Amino acid sequence: MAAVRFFFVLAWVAALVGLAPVARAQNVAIDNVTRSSADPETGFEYYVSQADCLSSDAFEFPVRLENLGGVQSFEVWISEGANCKLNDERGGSDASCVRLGSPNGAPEQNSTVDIASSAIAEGIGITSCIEEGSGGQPRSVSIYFLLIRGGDADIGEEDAFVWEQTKVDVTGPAPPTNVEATESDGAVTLTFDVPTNATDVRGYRFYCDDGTLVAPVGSAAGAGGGGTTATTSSGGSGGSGGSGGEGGSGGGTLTVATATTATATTGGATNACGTTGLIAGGAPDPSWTSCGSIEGTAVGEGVAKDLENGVAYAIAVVGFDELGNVGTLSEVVCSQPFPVDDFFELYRDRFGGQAGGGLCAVTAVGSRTIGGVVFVTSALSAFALLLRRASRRRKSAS
Amino acid sequence: MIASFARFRAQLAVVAALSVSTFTSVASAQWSSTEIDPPTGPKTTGPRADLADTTWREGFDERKEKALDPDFAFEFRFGPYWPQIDEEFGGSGPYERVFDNDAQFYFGLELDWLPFRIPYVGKIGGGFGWGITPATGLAIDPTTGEPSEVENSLTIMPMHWSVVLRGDELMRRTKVPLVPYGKLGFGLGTWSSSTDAGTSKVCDDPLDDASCTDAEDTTFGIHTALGVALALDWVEPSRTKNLQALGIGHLYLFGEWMNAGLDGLGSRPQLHIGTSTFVGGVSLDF
Repeated sequence: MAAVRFFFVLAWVAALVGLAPVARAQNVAIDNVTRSSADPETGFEYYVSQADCLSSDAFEFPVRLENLGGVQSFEVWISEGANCKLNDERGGSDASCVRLGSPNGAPEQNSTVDIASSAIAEGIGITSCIEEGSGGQPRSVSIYFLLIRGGDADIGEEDAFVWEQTKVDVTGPAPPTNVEATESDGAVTLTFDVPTNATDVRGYRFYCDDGTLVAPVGSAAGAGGGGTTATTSSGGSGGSGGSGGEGGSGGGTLTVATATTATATTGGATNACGTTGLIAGGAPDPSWTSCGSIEGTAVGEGVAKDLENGVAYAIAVVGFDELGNVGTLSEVVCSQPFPVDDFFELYRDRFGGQAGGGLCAVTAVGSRTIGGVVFVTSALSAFALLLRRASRRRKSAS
Repeated sequence: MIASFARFRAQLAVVAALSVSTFTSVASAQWSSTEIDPPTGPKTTGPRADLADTTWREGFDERKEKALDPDFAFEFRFGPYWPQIDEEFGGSGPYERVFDNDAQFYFGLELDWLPFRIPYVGKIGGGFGWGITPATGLAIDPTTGEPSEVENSLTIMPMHWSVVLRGDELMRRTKVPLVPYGKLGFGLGTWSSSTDAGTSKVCDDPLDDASCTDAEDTTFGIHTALGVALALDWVEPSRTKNLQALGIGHLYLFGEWMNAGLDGLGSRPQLHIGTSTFVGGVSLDF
């Protein structure tokens, strides 16, 4: 009987030992990921917008590695859904993962991995930060930090860290249609139809060209020059950047960077107003100053302001999303503001009235009058309160 | 005989016991249903001191009593409004050119606090009123002198702090449902004018924003008003009692001559946005 009991207990212990998960130490750890230059809004801290992609913005990953014995290399991979821990996804015929970089020397225990926003975009096939189409939803990416121990083996969980909080959205909303302009004094009222089912829209911006705007390179064609990826490694001085890329910083860091140099240009195209700056379907130059904007996805009316009367303007509307991505220009309309005499101009200029100047002008003149009124009112109020208090005391006493 | 007497005593005891229990249950039912303070005994002073205090039976309610002598009044007001802007220019000026002289719609709110009662007259206190009246027209085309297609608006917000006297003693003593009242105080109004391009402005130097004057300002003046309010208690007395249970004394319809003398009090050139008009509305006191 005792032998049976002993056997039974032994079987239980064996089962427990067999079922218990093997405690494996995590050999790749990352904390406190930061951005080098982007200042995204709350809720979009790790999103990559077109502006981020075009800038020198980079994600900074502080990496801590353990159990480096037998490690061949430390590599950073990116994918849009594929599991880069699988060898087939990294090197097979159907591989979906893209290698972002790897240090040349032996991996260090503590290092910083800088990955340019443009490199992340390029890693999922977005070249030159330009993605065809518009109004697309943000694309989720997974960035794999892998310790490679064997040549063709899959990577174990303990040798991988997967960063999945970054999303890439470099496309702006679709342009509005049926744009119409109504001139007024120094302004043009624009009405338009907003795209149906436009979900990734924050508002619309207006651009006014009096003939001085220059179309950005590659705007109408939607083509830009390709960038190249430069990978610099830790140790020694930072390498030089690739074609147009940034050089990496030296010592203890891995830098993955790309550079974007748009080279294509349309040149020579003119719009219906005879100017060349605004071309329907083209992208607005980030250096342009808008002449007005509205916020809201359903609003189809706004005013382009601060225009010069008597000057013909080519005007186009463009949508922008929560990340600040700007879409393509709408059809271009022509309009010429003209002067009118509104009530205030008539009052001041034609009839010689002198009022106006802002609500705060109240303190400039007439302050003595106001002060007197305030004083008398306060005194009367205090007297009234005293009377009331005395009356209540009399009532309670009786 | 003895047996029958004993039976009678027993019956009496049962009846007495039932009576006591019934009285107790009735009394407790009264307490629980009315939830009022117990009677405090007969009044010891006053003209009816000889009578027992029975207010507890009538469900005496402080809110109800307060509603019969309210300290506050609130008004919803509306009426036509003609800003007297052009009086500065002899009667025909920029306001007529752009907005015609059609009456504009005025809407206002007013809250009065009337803590004092003047015997045989009514209640007196202070009040604050706010209103708004928007005007829209078409700016003038300078080449033709005719209205253009550009919309132009002028928004005026007249306000006032006033001493308010409501002569409700007539209604309290005679049941005539009329309450005459008057207001006198300090008025001010803000105004702004705009087109599609935003707030209008006039610039000495079009290239220098600092030389521009915005079309918005404040105008001061004296506010006076006389009116009469018709209490609606008689329309449906039962509803009135319900309102009084909520602490609302009366519901009124009122008509008022309002003179918003917003002409600047002579302190400096200000846009004369005041008016003299009749307004009406609904008010309630509480």
